[in-house]
Amino acid sequence: MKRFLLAAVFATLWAGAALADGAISIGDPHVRLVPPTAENTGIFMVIRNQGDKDVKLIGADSPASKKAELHTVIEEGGMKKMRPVHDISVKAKGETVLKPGDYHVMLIGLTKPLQEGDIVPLTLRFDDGSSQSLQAPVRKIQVPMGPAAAMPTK
Amino acid sequence: MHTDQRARTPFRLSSLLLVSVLSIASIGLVAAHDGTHGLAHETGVAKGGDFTLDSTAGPVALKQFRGKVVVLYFGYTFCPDACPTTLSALGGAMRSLTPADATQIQPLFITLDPARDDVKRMAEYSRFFYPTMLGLRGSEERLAAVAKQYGVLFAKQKVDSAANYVVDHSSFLYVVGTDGKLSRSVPYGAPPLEIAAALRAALPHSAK
Ligand SMILES: [Cu+2]
Repeated sequence: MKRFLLAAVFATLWAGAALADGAISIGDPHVRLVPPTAENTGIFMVIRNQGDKDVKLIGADSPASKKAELHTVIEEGGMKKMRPVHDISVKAKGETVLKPGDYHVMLIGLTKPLQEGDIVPLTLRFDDGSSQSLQAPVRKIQVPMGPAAAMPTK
Repeated sequence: MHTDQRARTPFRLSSLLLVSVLSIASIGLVAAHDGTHGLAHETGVAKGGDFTLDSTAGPVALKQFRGKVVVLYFGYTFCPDACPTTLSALGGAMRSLTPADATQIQPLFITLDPARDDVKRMAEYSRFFYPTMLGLRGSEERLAAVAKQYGVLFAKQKVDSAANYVVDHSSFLYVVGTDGKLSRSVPYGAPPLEIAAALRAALPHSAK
């Protein structure tokens, strides 16, 4: 456990160091809490690129699942369609948001059920050869209660 | 229209073109779903109606909830996106109702992926979002028939992924009135308070 913590601290420092001279930073990474019986979940975040060149996220790895893949969701023909993608690009001086209904890192085949507050280690690989290791907390799905749209009375 | 959109999809589709017979059967309903806001137009096309499916407690028939409002969602537990989002919103809607109203509403989650979702998984998955939500399953044929009744579009799609295949699906909540008739549908993305309003509107005695 101690060794794991040390590794986590090291990874965090390392990510910080990469940020200092690298161009890519990750904001608000979090894992979606799903029922204990679910086999998969999604990880969302903001990827920022302060550099002068476009970069692409080309892969992800996590010990929390058998496989981590890059996916998106498209709306087509009245259906939601989830599809693997080869990469997720982040423009120079820009950012790309991974969010529900859109790009996500999908954890396929969770090795054990995740609970709210668990920390999932994740490594992201980019096409410039760099990578980022981060710790993503598991969070409950937040759906804004929203205003009730005026319901047409019939 | 949906066929040439396929060609614009920004990734490799070579292995993706196994659209199931099921979706072809319901493809005539696509137009009714496009650009739908608020009350779905497809209620004019899809009639809804009775069905019997399986649960951990044995067969569940829509008929047995006559006198209650039933809210239906079709999806699959393998889905980390639209399904948990919509079921969370539905859970939030149920919790925003008065306890008296909430007991008059039966939420049902119906799988479109019977190969991977057994009744036990459906039950546990559904309960997570709201304690009285029931998870239902049936044979592919029966599920296709129920989906068609309600105007649900779905297609099993092979993907180049550890997921092996996904199930593309439309994402509406269907509100069935106390008389068993499909009364309205609520589109994907509706916030909990909007879903709650649709549920209350179907309750005869609720303070509107
Ligand atoms: Cu995915």
